[in-house]
Amino acid sequence: MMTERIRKLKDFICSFPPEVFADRAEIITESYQRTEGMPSVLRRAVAFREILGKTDIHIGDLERVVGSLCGKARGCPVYPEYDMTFVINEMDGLADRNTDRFLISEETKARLRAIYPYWQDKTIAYRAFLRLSDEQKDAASSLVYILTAMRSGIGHLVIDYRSFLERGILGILEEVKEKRTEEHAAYYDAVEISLRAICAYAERYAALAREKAETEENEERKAELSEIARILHKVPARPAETFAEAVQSFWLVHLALHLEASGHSMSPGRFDQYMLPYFKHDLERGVPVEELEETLHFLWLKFFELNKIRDKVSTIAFGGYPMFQNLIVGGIDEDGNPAENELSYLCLAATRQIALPQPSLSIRWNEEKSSKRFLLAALDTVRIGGGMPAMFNDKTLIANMRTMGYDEKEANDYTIVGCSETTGNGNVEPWLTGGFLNVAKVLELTLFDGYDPVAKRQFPFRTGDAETMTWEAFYAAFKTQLAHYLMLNIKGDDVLDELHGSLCPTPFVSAFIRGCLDAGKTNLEGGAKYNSTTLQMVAVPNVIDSLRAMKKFVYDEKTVSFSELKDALLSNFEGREDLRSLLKNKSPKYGNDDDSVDLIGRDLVDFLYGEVEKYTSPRGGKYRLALYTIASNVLFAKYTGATPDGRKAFDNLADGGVSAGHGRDQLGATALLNSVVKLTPTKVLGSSLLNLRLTPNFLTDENKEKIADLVRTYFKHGGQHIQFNVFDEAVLRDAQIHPEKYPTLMVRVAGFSVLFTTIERALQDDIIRRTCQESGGKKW
Amino acid sequence: MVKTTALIFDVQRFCLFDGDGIRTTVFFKGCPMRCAWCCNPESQSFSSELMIKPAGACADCRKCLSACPQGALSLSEQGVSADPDKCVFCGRCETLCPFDRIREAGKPYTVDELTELILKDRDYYEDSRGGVTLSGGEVTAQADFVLALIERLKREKINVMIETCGFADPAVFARIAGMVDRVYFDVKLLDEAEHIRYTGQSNKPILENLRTAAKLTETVVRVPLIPGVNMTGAFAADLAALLAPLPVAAVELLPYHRLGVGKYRELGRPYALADTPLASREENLAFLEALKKQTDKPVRFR
Repeated sequence: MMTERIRKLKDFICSFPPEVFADRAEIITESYQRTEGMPSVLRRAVAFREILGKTDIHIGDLERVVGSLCGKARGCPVYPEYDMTFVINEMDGLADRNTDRFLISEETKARLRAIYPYWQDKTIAYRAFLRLSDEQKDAASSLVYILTAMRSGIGHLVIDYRSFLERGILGILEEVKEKRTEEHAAYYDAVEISLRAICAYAERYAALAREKAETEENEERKAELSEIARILHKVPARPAETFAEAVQSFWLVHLALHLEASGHSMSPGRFDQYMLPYFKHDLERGVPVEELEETLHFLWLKFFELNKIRDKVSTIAFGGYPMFQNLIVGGIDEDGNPAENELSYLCLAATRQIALPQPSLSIRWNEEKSSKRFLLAALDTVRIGGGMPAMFNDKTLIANMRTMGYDEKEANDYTIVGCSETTGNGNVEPWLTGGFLNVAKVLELTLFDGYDPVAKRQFPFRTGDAETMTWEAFYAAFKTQLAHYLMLNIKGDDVLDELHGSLCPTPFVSAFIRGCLDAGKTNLEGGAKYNSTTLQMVAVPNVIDSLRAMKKFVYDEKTVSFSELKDALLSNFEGREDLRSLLKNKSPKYGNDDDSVDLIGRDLVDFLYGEVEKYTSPRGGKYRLALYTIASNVLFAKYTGATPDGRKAFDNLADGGVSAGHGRDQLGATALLNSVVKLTPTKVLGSSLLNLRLTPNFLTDENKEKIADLVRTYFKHGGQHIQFNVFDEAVLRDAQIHPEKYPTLMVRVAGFSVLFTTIERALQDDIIRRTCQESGGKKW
Repeated sequence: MVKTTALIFDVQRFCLFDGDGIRTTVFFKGCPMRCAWCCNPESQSFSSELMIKPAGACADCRKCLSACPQGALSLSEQGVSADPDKCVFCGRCETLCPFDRIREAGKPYTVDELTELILKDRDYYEDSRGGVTLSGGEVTAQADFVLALIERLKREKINVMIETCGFADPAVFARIAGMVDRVYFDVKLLDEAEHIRYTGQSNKPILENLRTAAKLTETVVRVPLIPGVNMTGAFAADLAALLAPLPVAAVELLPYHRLGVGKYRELGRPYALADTPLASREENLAFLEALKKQTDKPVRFR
């Protein structure tokens, strides 16, 4: 049950937009100025200590779990070391932009302007820009790909939360002492400084709580504040014992990860596993479950409070303040035993009751070990319409973990980061930000022999005039182009990989990633036990459909000539609505269980897999293929001309990753799912993401079980992931007109949920236009 | 001699409302009855028919006119229309219409072809305890084929249900009913004269077949509630009396809707109940309550 106090706190934090503060940016600037010449890792640690020691802290009146990034709820720091230019250029518009609005005071602006000169030639973005080739930069500005690590920290991992909950930070400091080597002295010093900094940070909160307790007149609140002070004096320095201690310890460390670096998708991972002992401890001592549930709800609201600012372009691809804190429940434990427990159910209920987009809740489904009751409980949460939880398939993902080289226990213990990315638990730097490649754009470049008709730019890499080619030759030319841009993207990411490692290592994070303390270097320098990088392919369904239509009309039936097609694409089908409709309506489409098109997709996935796996990152980990979009499909669409699947220029590209093009999957959910599993989920090792849309009246009590069975069969067939959007189109249309009526209307984008009214119009439309799966498929 | 193909006007996968679990529903074309409220008019005729979207929806590209080898298509202010005497259902116009405005309702399928299509979702049936529902049109009207299909599906251990209007030769009906896992059996009117008036056929074989179905397999009675036709206290009472001695599993009431009206236009046919209003929620509920009071069978809306 959600208490009145939680409801009040929720209403409060939803009542104002987040605000940008200059503290962190100023403190790190001063610190960097004093530490010039020191090894990067030490400079980072010293700066982290200064930030945690000096940044404003805050305890809200209604809070029982405390810790905020700035001196105000929903406050948001600035990270000048990654990119300061966009902050300066865009800060005047932050409060007025369409999506992801942030308040920012004139004073904050002035403080940020003051430090800007120092950073101009020192940021990751600046350094990267110097090292990228013209071709790499042109490809990025034509939106052939996005290099996501340009302006932001890396984030995207699951630390070993159990380590400090069980041993305390002091326990880890012992380990640091034991493992210290002279060769890597700077690293061990940096970790020690960082770990002591978090303990001091907790003491600051304890002191603030004590101070507030002294002047508090309400006896109940006074006692609460004293208890908060007691807890923060104890954790995270020492092992947690009670659930409240564990939650507070968890939160303070999780929060601090976001003060060290600006990466998002710092994911809590298997929360229902490592928090269970504390939950049970309290239950056994007679603490009412309602009290534990309220503690959990306080934490859920904290997850929602975390925020980061992104540049305007990024808010198109990552709109709606997403932080992608993936929290996953269920599945099996390391030894293969069923892992779902009472806390897993409380997490599902928390998201159902609080109904805010963070944390990104997920479940692991294990056909042999999970109970049907668990899946039905998950669907009860799906029913509220926020698109959570996402569902992940143990069968395929554990197998994929083994393929990636994890041992059996580690594979069983897999977790999810961000949207839907499969990773190890606290033992890997998975670098899930290798980039998003716009495969539809590459098809366009093949059609026009390296010419980008949207940007009106000729690229140097050419595969010849496609007009004279056979189908085989055209398909081969497309693959050649694809291999080239994939390489270009990867080489660009390699530059960023080296820069982040050398300029912005994360000693604090690394203390909680297995392998780093042994190797004597941070996760961003290759210290983790495992390393990998994923590369995301976007608009693959549009490309499959385009290739199929070209094969049919241009090459097999020869009813449309290549030049006719090319002209129509160049003119955006001006006066050729007949040809556009023919391409769209009369050629088989991916998502309808038709091998003639699905197997082109399989071949493409096999090819991409082979190409991506050729590359190794500077950290020594392999590149991995992924099929998920976030909302990059919406951004890419704005730069991609008409495509041979009958899609008009700048019209939306397929969402999700393996979801069919909008409205093209017409034969019902089973046909779609059968198509999806043909795209070899065992080769898409990074993640393959499927959005499925249902209407609310579809997920009735009577049908819930059928939907559960639908998921089970899909997973038996090897599907990796599925998530549901359940909404009534009329409601979303109304929310576009009257946003003020729907402040907390939640929808699923790709691997994350957002408040509908906080996202860009184009992304809103994208969500509305996705195929709604109806009984019996679409009617003619 | 078994006819090798049946005329099918639709195969819908992922059906959640035609029986247990996830199902594929196969719609057989052709029906001996002509119910005035029929929402699938393309299901009635035993031959293929062209369905053409009316003017306005058509982009006037005339590709279909020039493509038709029989010269069966013509264009007027009302849009494209087909001369049923000339059309041989070659499918060329459907293939060529870029805008998806022409559809040939009714395509021949062999048992093998249908089985292959049905088995694509086999695992979904197994996990959800679903299967196949044979519907129409009237499924029993293509009896030889249907028997062969059911036999084949049963060999594949697929759960099979049928939806029937019940108007069939009793011997044929008994053979089919005896092979399937459930029968959804329509009861529309009980007064013989009214029945003939609104459906074009006698009620007698239907009532006999209902008894047969109830004896041979699980039978669910379905009643479309048509305002001005059968939403009366007298019909509810007669229905309850009819069902009293029969081992019927449940009664499902289908409130009247007008979703099929557009299809009449596409077929160039008038809709007999053009002036019939939708019943209110309260009126539908009142019928349900009235029936519930008089029968021990479960009664629900579908």
